[in-house]
Amino acid sequence: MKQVVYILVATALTYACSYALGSLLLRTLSVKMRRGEERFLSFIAGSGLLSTIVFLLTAAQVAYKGVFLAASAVIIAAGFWRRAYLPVEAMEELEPLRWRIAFWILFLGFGWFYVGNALAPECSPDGVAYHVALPAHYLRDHGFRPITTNMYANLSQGIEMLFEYAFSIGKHSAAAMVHFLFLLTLPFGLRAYGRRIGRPRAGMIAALLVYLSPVFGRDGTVAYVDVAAAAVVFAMFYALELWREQRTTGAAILAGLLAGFGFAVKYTLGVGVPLVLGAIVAGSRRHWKQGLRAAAAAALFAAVMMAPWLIKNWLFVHNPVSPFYNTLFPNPYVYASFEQQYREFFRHMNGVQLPEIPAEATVRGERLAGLLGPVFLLLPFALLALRRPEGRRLLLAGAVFLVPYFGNIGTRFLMSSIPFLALALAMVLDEFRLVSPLVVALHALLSWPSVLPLYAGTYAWRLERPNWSAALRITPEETYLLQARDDHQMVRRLDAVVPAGEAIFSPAIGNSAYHTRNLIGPFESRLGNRTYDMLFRATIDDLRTTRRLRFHFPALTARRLRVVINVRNDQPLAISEVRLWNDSKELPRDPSWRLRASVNPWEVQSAFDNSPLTVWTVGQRTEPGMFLQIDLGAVRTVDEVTVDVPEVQRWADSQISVDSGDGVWKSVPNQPTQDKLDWPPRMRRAAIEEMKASGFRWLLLRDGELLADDFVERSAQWGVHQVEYANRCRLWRLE
Amino acid sequence: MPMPARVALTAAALLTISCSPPVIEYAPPPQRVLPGGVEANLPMFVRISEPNIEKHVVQDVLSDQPGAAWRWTNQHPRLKVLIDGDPANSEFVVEFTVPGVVLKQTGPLQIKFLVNDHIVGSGRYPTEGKQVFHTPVTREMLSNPDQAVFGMDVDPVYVAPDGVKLGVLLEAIGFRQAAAR
Repeated sequence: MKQVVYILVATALTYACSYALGSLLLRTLSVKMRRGEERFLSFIAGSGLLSTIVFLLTAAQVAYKGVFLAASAVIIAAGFWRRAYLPVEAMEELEPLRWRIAFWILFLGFGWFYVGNALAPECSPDGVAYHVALPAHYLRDHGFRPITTNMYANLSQGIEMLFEYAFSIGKHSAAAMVHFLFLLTLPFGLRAYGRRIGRPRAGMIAALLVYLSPVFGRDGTVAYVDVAAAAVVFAMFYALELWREQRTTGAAILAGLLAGFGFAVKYTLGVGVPLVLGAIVAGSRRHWKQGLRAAAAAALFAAVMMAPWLIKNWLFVHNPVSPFYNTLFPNPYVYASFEQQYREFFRHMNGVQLPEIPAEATVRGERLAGLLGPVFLLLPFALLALRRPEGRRLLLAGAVFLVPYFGNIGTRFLMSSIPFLALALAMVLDEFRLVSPLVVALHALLSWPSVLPLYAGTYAWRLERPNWSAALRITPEETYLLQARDDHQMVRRLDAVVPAGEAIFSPAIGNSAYHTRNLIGPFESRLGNRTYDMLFRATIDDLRTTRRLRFHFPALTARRLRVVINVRNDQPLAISEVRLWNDSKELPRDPSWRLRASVNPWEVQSAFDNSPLTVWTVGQRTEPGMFLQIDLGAVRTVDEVTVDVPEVQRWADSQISVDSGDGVWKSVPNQPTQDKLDWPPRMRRAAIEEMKASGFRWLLLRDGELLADDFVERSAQWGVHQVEYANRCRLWRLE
Repeated sequence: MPMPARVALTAAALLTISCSPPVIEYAPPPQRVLPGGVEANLPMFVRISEPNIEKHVVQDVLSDQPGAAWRWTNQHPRLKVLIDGDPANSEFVVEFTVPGVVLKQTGPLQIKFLVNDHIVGSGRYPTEGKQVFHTPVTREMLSNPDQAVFGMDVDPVYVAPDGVKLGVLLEAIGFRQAAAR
């Protein structure tokens, strides 16, 4: 139970600090609002400020529990001193009593399920992989350090900063509980908005549509960030509505700050910034100077919230929006080709096509990981809200936040637009007094956790019945986690077995929240990509670099020489070795040579290291004109160039260009012949040597995943020793 | 040129210079020396105590704690290995124990030994205790050049009260160099 107390204290402190900061901000900005609005906006805006404070403390390398507690004491004391916790206005209660009773019954009924899940030991896939694992990492280091082997560390982490704060006191479940705070708060924001536009019942209906929705319930009770994201963008919209009514700079600043916080929560929510600025400018046509001032103020505060993440990425990984736009911001940490595959995967998640989305995202919930609930099939009727100005504004905001969805069609990524669309739908439903209670009742019934299995997909991502014994820690956390996650037994051994500082290559196990060792996955960085490719190259014939392009020509003198790619292909070309020859003798690679590449220059040495396993790759779509360049340091005679590529790249085509020393590049007219090279023996062993050279000492594989059988059957050939076996997970030491 | 234009041009020039990416070039790296020698042969003799024994089991070998020296078999245990190198000069070896508890219930055991479904030998085992069966590897055992499936057919078997058919306690099976025995 002691642990539960810590979790609850961490959650309460996060709320108290956020609320105090937000309330003080709103009073400073002199934004007029009602009590319900103030409560909602104080928490959301304050959470943005608390997040930024935690960021700054972490950036200053003082991320200690004591520092966070001291900051909390100051914030809460300031809150009491300035009466931040006292409401500015009396609560208005405009909804009919019957609706209020129904609301609270459903709110508390579902809340019972929700809190039981949120309090249980945190074991969500993304939570243990990065939403919680990264804040835990920052706390261990007491600050940010460049993490170049995990692209998730480069995403904006506005909510994870709140997790970091809560984790320092209550550990893993405190993060989930902090996210749960947003699920608890959002419905009240929707209710307040309903009251503001004179449609209190519509606000109530929308609040229930959102709060009871299975994906909101599931996501909002683990350490994810999607419900928080939805709450933040709705708060941004709310602030914009306040500006529309009050036309004060304070309201514009609030809207800008929340738009920037949206970006800090998720890059894709950055679409809120142009929405805010556009709405302010468009809404100030008669007073354009005042409008521009307000827009400038909003932009400034949006930038204040966004800048920390952009600067951190620029400094650490040379790409402010890493892991995206790597072609625009080339860097040595993420391949543009990987980004392209990643985007493609999420654009067509699990092969789901556009016409399948409505059924998958509302009813089945399996292939898109989560369901909104069948009642959301009524969303097209929300278009009838276009008849009213409020409906038009809501639908516009919903449409804006729907735009990024098509880049990742998982149901979770719909959630940011759902509060707007739910409100628009609720406005329509509200016109049919008999229908709206039925719709809400049906939604509640279909969203009830024990009803979901009757119609949703077998593997739909949904809430389970709460395990109160685990939630209250009557069942020990370890016991629960051992049952909940098949990798837990192994990852708990890592701290005991693997010395600190030694990297573990882990293709399938990403659980990094319950140990302190460095797991490097195959997809999260260039190092991971290269290592995984190399292991496959050591085992699969088609990936072997045994295709040799041989360019033979009359002897010529060259000071510089280029291998210029002649072909366009969606796949990145890879070259394992470039060799220069004269009179059938290879020119020894001289330390005075200088190697360059027009793209991905950081890995050019891999084409000159005498290893058929390592490759230089263009790292993006192959385009004609890309080249590798060798400056020989002096004029040399060359009559042949060989370029070794993987067997699978039969499409590889290139030509040789030469600078004889006069600075003029001339193409050498020649069509290469293609030979097949012998694959040297012991390349599995060579791959392990390469891994060790890259800093790896360990390999973690789960039975059944790619390569796992090969390591078991050929461990002697790889030169690895199995050190631990637990629940079908094997930890190999690289010998 | 007017002052504002000069300022603008200077600023543009500075911006251009500051935005040019630095040239990234490297010297050739140290040359990799590939591992010498020949590929290590894969073990074709399987000890039950091996940590990865489950990967070899095809059927009828009961689960046990990893590292256990022996495991109960059912009636038709089968284990597989990858063929690596030429086992022609090796022998097929099975190390097992005939348990007294089985003999008491069933009487003497008749056991056939198989490689890739070819019966390569058989024996009658009337007494309890450790047994070793071995026979030279023949070409007919190597019908599959990539993989060998080793097995035993035990008859009769003891049917335990829980319905499980128990044969012998298997300790090791596979091809082994004759000299190493």
